[in-house]
Amino acid sequence: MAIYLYLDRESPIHRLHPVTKVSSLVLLFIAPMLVIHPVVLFPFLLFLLGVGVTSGCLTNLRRVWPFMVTLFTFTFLIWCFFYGGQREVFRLAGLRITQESMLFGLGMALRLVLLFFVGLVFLSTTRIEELTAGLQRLGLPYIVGFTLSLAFRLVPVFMDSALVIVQAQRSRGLDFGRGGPLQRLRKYLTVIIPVFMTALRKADGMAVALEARGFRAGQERTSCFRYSFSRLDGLALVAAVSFNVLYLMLRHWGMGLVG
Amino acid sequence: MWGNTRMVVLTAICASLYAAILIPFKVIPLIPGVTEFRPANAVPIVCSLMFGPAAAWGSGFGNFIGDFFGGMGPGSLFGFLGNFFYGLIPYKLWGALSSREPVPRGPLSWLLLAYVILLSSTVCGVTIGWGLNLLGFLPFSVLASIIVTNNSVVALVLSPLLLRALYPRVKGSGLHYTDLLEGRALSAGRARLWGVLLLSLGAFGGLAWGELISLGTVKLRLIQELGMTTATGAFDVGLGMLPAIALIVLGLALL
Repeated sequence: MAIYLYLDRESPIHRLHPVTKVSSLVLLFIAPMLVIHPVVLFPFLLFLLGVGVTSGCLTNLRRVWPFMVTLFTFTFLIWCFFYGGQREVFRLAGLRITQESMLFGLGMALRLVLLFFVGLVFLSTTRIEELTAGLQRLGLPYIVGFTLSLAFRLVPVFMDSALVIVQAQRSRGLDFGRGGPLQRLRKYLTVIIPVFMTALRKADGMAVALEARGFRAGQERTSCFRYSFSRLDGLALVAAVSFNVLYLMLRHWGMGLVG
Repeated sequence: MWGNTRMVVLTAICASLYAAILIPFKVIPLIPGVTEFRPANAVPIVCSLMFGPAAAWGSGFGNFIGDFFGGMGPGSLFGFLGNFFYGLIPYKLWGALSSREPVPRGPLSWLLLAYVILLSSTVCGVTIGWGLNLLGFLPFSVLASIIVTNNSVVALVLSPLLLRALYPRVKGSGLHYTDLLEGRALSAGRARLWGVLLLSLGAFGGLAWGELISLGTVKLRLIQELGMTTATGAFDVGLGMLPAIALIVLGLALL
């Protein structure tokens, strides 16, 4: 079962060093936080679309576009109601909708969609090993990185076992969609408890297997993955930094904000 | 904790269990991109009372992995922190208030478990609500109350039943945190009671205070004088709630 968004492609973005990927992710998360005006955020959207096309990860957009539309609509509506402003357009249930609130709502909705898009590109082009390698090179202790990567690997195992249990319970006549909300919630116990028991049975065996392979032996760790920096990494970092500098300058000059 | 292989494995297991139950429910959002209906919210509470600190890290990692499936952003950092607290508080609080097993059998243990769940959920909601309002994404008043309700309702319904079924087995298999860490996970003496007091004050006071600031009922003069007032209330909530966050952190340090 494919639960992660990673797409195995041979693109320049896929070939970037893990440290570049993690650093660019952080930098590209910061950039859209500096401005809010939708017009100013638009070039960032174009840049991300370009990266998406280059990396071949736009196919993942098809998987998540309903979510992105919901995110956009919900954020737009909520800020239309919560943002103040002077120039009233209309009133709804006693709440004022102003030109400023609509512009701000649009900017905030675009910002959140862009942040989601940055995450999507990262997840589509980065393997879990790369993520942990990148975090470790940036200072994350080995043991924490190892735990995180082990957890990532176990998710599909437990999801698969949950699906098997759901099917087994259904074949015994359990209807998860029947009854009130609390009754339905309680029916999940018939899935959660067996999944927990499977996990507990694995825990001890896994610990023994790890120790048998010299885990925590106190020696320096080696990895079969070798990553090297290239000119592409420099380019990617320059692009990510440029957006931050540009948006900081715009902000300093009083542009890119609403109201 | 990180020196014990079993605790490391249990951390990974808590994280993956949490994520494995979170991910299928990403399709039922309460606030798109931020939170959804989460039957998995009982997992950190139950795991915390059985596996201690492994559940705290596991809940943080599990939420982070859940974000990987959809919704990763700068807010994930606060999601990690809120869920870390959500998994950290139950075992520390229970350890401070009772020497019995955390399996609800009488009215007192039911009450105690309900308080543990409510306080953990509130700290989680306050932390995430504060963080996401600080980033200017969503008003504290909308987010915090949804998280607190979502966490506490699910955990109150499922945790007692899960604990009854699972706790004796975990204790029997020697995977309980007190067996693995030999009692090193809890502070001693009177400090713990101070911890409970400060934590409760920071959590419940912080929730009420945050709602008042976020809804504009309370205006912070310092923020207005410094000209830092924004429409999102990012600085008002961000700075105004710092004392509550400090109380929570201090309370946790003493527990």
